[in-house]
Amino acid sequence: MSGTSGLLRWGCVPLLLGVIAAAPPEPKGMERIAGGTYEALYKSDKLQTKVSVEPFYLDRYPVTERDFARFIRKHPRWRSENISPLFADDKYLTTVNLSDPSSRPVTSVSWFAAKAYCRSKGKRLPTTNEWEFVALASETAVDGRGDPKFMAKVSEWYGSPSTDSLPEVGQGFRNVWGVFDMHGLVWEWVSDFNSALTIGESRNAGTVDPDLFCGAAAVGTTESQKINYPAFLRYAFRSSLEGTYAVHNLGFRCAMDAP
Amino acid sequence: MQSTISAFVARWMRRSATSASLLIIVVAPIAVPNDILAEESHAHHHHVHRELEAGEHSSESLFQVDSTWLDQQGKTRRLADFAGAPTVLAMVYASCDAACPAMIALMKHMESSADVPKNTQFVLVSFDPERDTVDKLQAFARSLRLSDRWTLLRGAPDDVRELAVLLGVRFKQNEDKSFSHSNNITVLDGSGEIEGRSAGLGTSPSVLVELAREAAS
Repeated sequence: MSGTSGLLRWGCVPLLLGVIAAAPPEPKGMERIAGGTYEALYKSDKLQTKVSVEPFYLDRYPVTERDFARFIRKHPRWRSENISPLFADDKYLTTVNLSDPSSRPVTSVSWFAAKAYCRSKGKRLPTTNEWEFVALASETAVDGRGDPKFMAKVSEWYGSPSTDSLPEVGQGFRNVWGVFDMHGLVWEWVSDFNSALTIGESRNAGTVDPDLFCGAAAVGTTESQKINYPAFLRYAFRSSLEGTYAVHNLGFRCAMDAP
Repeated sequence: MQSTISAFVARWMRRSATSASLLIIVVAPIAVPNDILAEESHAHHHHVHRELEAGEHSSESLFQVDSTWLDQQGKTRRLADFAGAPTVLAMVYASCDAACPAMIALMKHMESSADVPKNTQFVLVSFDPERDTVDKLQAFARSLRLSDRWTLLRGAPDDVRELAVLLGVRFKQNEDKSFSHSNNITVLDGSGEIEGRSAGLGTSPSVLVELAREAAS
């Protein structure tokens, strides 16, 4: 009764516990991003410039037209004919061929629609800090800002106008995290896009703290940020957005908390 | 900038002519224009208004947003609770010592104005649910001597962010836990549709009162 069979039974338990105790695998289609700290784009009034990001999961690719078409089939209130004007403007989904959706990144989606998609997957939009942290990465380094060739390439992408027909996801730039298309494809929504504040024009910005934001000029930026013009561009772009906006080269990807 | 204000006012006046609701443009002294890259081409929807079922909200009503909040009495509230009368909405936080007092002063001025309907409701939503507890909100309301026409709300951070986006309010929390934020004040009509919104530029109270008088007529 005991003896060999008993040994086999009890021998399995430590093995099982070992498997349970190991880190869970990434959710399908996502990469695990380790936590980190990096210098913020702008100076805060308390002169602290560090941003910290906890570990999290990020979608490997931007959400595709096919992904989004499937979502609105299951959730018809997000169809363009049904959606409330509070949640999307007149351009919503106008650049997407829903009858023959592709693997191109979905664009012309409002922030509300992007949020709803992520929630339907048990996910969320990444925060600005999370997204920008992953955007720092080159093919080989978590922080590519020390790599002038990489920085030049990124600037080149932002310098060229977007093509009429977007390529499919996953065909372009892959960074050290295994995440594709953080540069060179589409602008992307973040959960707190409206945390990008602009200062007033000099004519009427008398009471705005000039230390709060210093985007336009290099004056007041941290030294390493002086060459990161794309980050400034993204900040400016976000500060021009409203949640209802559907823009032809603005898409999104989802994130998830990591244990 | 002046022509933009005129066009803005003209658009509000036209909208107010189609409803008997209150139209107030409330503008705060601190400017945060945020449209350096935004295009003007995002047109408004034109919906055919069909008969609504009882309790149903129009597609333009903020009351279709179902988030739950706690007020300064600890009661659970929804935005739809404010149906039936105009509502003046601003986002503030109790520890704010700069723009928020100015916004609240403007709203109090509206409250005491003879041209503002006596059933107008005033709602302050906190950016700071972490520190602005129910007790803190109650103390805040008391310190400002706010009447029973005022409701102070705290909610989940996601709901706060969503409401801010809906109201066109921009905000971020700084390292020292204070908030940087724009100073929009939004006016809803009795059905929850956005009647008007401040442009974030300074305006004298007399202009406010004049607009309110014209809109209420």
